[in-house]
Amino acid sequence: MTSNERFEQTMSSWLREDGAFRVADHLDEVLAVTSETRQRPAWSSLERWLPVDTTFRPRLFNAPRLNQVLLVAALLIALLGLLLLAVGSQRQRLPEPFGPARNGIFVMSRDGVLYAIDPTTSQRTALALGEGFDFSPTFSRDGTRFLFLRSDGPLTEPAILTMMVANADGSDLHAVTPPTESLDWFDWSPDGTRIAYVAKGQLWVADPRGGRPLMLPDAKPAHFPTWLPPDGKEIVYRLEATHPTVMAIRPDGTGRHPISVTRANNGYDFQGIGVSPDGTKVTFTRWSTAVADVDRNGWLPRVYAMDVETGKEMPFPTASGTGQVGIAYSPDGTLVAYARIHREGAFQLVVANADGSGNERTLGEKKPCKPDGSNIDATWVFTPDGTALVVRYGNDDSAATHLLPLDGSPSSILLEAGRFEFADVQRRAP
Amino acid sequence: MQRDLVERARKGDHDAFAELAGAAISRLDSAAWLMLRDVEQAKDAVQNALVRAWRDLPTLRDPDRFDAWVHRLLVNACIDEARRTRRHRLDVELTELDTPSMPDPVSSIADRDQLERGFLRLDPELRAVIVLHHYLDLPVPAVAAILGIPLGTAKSRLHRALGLMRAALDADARVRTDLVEGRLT
Repeated sequence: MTSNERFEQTMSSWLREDGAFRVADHLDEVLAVTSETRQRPAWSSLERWLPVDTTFRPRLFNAPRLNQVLLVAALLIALLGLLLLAVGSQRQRLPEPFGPARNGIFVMSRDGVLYAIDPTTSQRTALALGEGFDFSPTFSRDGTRFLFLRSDGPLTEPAILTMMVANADGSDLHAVTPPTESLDWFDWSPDGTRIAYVAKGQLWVADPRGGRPLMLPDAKPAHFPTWLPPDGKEIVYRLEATHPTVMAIRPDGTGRHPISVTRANNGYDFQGIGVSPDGTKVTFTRWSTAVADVDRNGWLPRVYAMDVETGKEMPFPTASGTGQVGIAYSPDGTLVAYARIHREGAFQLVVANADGSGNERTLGEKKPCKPDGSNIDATWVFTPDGTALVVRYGNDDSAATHLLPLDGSPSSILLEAGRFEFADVQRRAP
Repeated sequence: MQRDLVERARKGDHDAFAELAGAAISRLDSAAWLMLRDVEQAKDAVQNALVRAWRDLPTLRDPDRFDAWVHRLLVNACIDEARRTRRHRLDVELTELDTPSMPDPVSSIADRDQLERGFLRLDPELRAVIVLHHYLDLPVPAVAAILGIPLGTAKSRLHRALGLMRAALDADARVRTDLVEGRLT
């Protein structure tokens, strides 16, 4: 036996003796805490329902306090407006799939009901879309249709959801997937002819007109599927593994290839994948002890932009002892927004130059989070016109969505907080 | 059996989780104690790990990985606890020795305190790798998976941890010798 082996044997013996007589007498305390702790539903993770760059868009102003008569009148006007919009939109020029656009109407879910909100009047109208618990509406990039998720009856675990699509006015409602377990993360193709989504880690492509979705067997286990601009010839996704990889695959399921060239430090790398509007960069968050340049103690996330062609990664500047998480591009691609994590246990949103040249500007208040930034209850995205950030503070049980103008003018709360509250903004031609 | 309990606990069954936690808590408590060397901190770490396990259980994709997953949560909780007090302890810079410059200290190890002192000088990550491998008897690939690091990194981390322990014991042995021979001033 070598001295190393003897030493290891001694070490093992010492550990066993030292740990042998410990009696865990606090099980009851632990169970008392867990009995008061709600489980996080697998399907309710913010990461699942709110692709930072794609599905979660704005929502507006506080609805003014009107009396009942005025409210009814306003609702009728809003309904008429929606009708006119639907008719008019067929003749209007449509926006390009990427780049700045005008803000159109807002569609939001709250407590299982979808509402249309007119941004100019703040009036909201419940959309009559039949029975079901509906949430997470997301417009196609041309703003003519939106999809949403529907649970028939109360949400269960695991959730059985159906993806529905309707015109912007709520007409032509139809299912585009069968009832699906663990339906998770989705994205419209740039031309609006397909929708990529994940169910139980399998990547699928659905036709918004209906029909049987196409399974992409080579793309599993996958997460964060995102169409690559400008033409959507490929879908970028995170290959789930002990060491994840950023991959790309054609929507017909062929041509799978890696984009990332750096080995993931651990299973938390390449989180929250997004793309730049010109399709040259893939953004993500590394959540790794190996990111030593953020904090010598590690455990702080950091955001990166990766060149799609070369795989070269660019970090964004940050102050010592602070981290970053959840990067999203502005519509024109010149700015990015992410959360700055402070070691004392707080986060605050920041807008910075997309080329990494700094010039960070904070937006909104500091909010509490864990010191390692692992429990941020917020998501954010730029409005289509790029003048504001729409931020959802909270979780699926209760969230409020704020509009934070980039010019520093006062922020506003778009609607009272609700359950499964999600919003998206219609893009319209400039 | 355990898979069934995990499945039930994932669906919110408190009794199933209580059974899982009851079966694991002694092992977790011992491992946390060994990593942290502080009873209260160890309790906190175990509690944090188990509460987080309960809260996030529905997100666990493979019920068969429950043990490994809980170990990972525990290690993370222990590292968090250790960092919380890191500023209050004196760090001693150690240099790993390739070959012992003194007579093999292992042969003279009778003092558990020596081992404990050496162990306490390790970073939490290095303590974790030792406890997982030498106390919980997990093979190095399993340790790597739990820590979320490559196999090679786990091996080198284990090698480095043991090397630093030996260096610490060597240093202790030198001090003892010097004390006995009256060379310390």
